[in-house]
Amino acid sequence: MNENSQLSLEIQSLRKSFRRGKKQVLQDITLQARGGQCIGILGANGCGKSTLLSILAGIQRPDSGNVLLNGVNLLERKMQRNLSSLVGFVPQEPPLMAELTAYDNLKLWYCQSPLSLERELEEGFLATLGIPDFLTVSVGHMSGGMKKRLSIGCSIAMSPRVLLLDEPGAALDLLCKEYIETYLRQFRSQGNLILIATHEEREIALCDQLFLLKNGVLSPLSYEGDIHQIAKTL
Amino acid sequence: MKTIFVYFQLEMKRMLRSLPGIILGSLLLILLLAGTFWLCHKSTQNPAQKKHISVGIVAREGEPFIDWMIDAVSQIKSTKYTCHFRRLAEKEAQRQIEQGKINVIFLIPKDYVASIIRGENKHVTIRFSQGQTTIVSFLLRELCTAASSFILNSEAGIYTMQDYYREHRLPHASRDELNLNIAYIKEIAKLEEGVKLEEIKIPDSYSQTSRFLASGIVLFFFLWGIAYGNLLTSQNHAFQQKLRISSLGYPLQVILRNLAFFLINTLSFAILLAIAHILCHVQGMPLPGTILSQPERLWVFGASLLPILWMAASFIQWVYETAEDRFGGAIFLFLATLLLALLSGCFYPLDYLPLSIQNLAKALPLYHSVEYALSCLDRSPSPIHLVWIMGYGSGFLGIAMLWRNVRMRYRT
Repeated sequence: MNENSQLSLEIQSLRKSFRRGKKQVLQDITLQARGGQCIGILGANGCGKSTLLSILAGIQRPDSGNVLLNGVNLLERKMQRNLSSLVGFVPQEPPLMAELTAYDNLKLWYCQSPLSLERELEEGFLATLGIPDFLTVSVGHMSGGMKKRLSIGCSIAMSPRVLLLDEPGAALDLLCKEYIETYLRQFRSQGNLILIATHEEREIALCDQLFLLKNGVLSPLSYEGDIHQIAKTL
Repeated sequence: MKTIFVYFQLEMKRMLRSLPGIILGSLLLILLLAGTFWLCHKSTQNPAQKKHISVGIVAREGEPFIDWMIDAVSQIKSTKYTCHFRRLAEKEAQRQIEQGKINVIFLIPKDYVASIIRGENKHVTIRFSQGQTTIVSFLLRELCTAASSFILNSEAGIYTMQDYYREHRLPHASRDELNLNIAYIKEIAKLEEGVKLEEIKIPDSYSQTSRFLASGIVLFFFLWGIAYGNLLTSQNHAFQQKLRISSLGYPLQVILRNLAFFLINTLSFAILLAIAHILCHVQGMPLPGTILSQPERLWVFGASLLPILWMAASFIQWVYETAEDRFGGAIFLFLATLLLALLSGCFYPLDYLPLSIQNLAKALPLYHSVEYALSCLDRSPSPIHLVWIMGYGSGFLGIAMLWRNVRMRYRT
């Protein structure tokens, strides 16, 4: 896949159910997005936002449907090995080794990265996230904001074009949110695509398009700056 | 490939960080186990409890004085032992000592008493199995006492001889009496030389100290896992899932962790062996007659126990994979190990258990671990028990891999 080409993501009729079909979480999810966009997905707790992002990240398999990135189906088995170089995923729970430092955790994800870890820490996205400030701190001693920033830093190790974030700003202070927002703007400005499941007003304001996931159905949502208006629709 | 190597490195690193705490915890556990087994040992040495000894006597039918000698020894009161004597044919006696039904065999040669009177030096052979040396010491002492009693009776015979010589006016009474006394004194002095000791090797026959040491080491390997709860409980699911999509599948994650855990265990074990080596130089080796008779051989013994260490590591890892939290895992590990130890005869001989449980014990991992450790102490590691151990280790690791895979796929 040509990194310089215009990025396009297309989700076609994605379906997912649990408990052998008794609970239909996603019903015919369809979405189109391009590089340089930030897509926001809103919905009540437990509506299926995390499930949708997990499917796009290759962690879960859908019951049916396709996910095309520049025409290539990401759900095919042969694409699974290369998925981390195309799609970066930041889950709600930070995927970190608790007994080790930030640097050790980054080493794990950057060992096969095309990027140089030291260079990224000096002047790349990792510097933008402020990670050098707590490089030698053990994960067990980090605040929630540090862990979230480190999670993002780990997920971009393979220089993905698509970044999936599951509630990145939850329970973070304003400074951390500022770091993350700055980073997301930079990432988007390079022609990459962001899909973000969120409840945070600042992140909603960052999005170019908003979608509401309700009863398994994804529908467009208009936002005119009033968060309370959105809350009524959930 | 690089991810595999870096992940393994990081697993080693996080376990190495906990090494000082693990060593301290290990020393406490060793003290606890040593105290437990010392109490077990003391209770079996209770003077209030007499030990039953079964002795087989192999002698020619009609051999004079044998019944008298048995009576003489039986009448000696001992606060430690009660002896039961049985006259047996040699083949039957050999069969019974190999089966553990009798403790010692006395093989009395033909015309033994007459040979003493004639001044010949025929041997009484005492045959015993390994681990029975204290019984043999006791019996030799009683034998000497019995022989003294025999002499006293013989003295009575000599006085009768004097009356006889006087009555019949026979010459050389003093010379004959002197010669007879000298002959008896010579025989008594040679008595221990007149007894030949034969030690025969019987399968599965080890001293109590060896058994307790082997059981203690095996239990230590298993209970050690209580200190590792923090390191072995599953990492957060998001981390495991991300590793999987980075080509490090769930089974491979388990294998790499097992390898790191085993290597750290080996390092900890080496440190403890070094401490033991120093103590053995100061205090002396605990088990002469085994591989531990020399301090240098301690390391060879330790190396031979590595298969048990690996099997225990696999078992511990499986426990924590199943429990998913460190406290539940520690409790499960403790109870499971205790149950296995009770059913495998770690604290008492297996013979104490009903036959059905004895048969079950021979399929349990702790039983094979203890038997293998005993065979290593004896300088001849048992390949059969080793195969069982490696089989169990592979089985536990396989179940841990399967459990992780199924659990994570069920979650997704």
